[in-house]
Amino acid sequence: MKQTRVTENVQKLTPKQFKAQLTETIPHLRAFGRSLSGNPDTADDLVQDTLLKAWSARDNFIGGTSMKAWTFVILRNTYFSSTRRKKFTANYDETVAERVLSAPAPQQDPIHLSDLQRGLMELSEDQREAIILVGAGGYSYEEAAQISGCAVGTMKSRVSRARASLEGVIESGRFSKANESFGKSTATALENIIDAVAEIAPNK
Amino acid sequence: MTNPSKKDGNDHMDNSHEERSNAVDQEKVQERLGIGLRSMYRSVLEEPLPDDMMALLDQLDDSDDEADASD
Repeated sequence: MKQTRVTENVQKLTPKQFKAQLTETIPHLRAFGRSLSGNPDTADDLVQDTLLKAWSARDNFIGGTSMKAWTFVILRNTYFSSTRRKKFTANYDETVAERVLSAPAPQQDPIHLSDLQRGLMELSEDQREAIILVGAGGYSYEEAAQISGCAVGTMKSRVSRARASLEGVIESGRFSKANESFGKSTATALENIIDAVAEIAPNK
Repeated sequence: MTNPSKKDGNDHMDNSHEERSNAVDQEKVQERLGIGLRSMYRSVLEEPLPDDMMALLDQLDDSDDEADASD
């Protein structure tokens, strides 16, 4: 395949270049993995797997294209194949999730990271991935569709449905017993724990 | 029904006013959602990287420079 070898020399990065670009993606991979899996340790394991896979596939990477998008595909493929193998549990780290995000308007309740992450975990994986890529990661619909391997229309639909589902999280603010009427009719053990925490440390 | 235009006129104005303020509310909610998502993402971006992750990269680079030169 001498012909492609010439092309490869032009478009292939040196190991140093590859590693430098790969290093730059790590914080983004961690952010993507964290919000996708809901668990910091799971996320970092996911990122480690991704880095190893990216390295072994480095000959397939075309210099000049987005390393970030390329590694995002590896990460999400790894994540989805692992969730298909084992039953998915909403197993995110509550202590980390207690951080409060700043609110745009002072008179409104701040959005608690735990509420938002929990809302994300209640979405389907496809919708969660979609809203993270477009809403959090800043990708366009086209880029997000390429990463997810779906049509642009499908991506737009997923984002739209995710936004609609998450509206309830934003509107109800800090999840507490008073907010149960907003549609959470089935209290899981996790929700009971969150309620208990809300009672111990009330927002108002 | 006798003066449909007058009655409908007011109702129509009330409905569209309500629709508009609902739409604005929804926009605000979506704006907060966007801010929340981006804040959540950014907070992880700003975390220091785990040591073992950086160590992993160092290992990759060292072991393959020589192999590549021989290609």
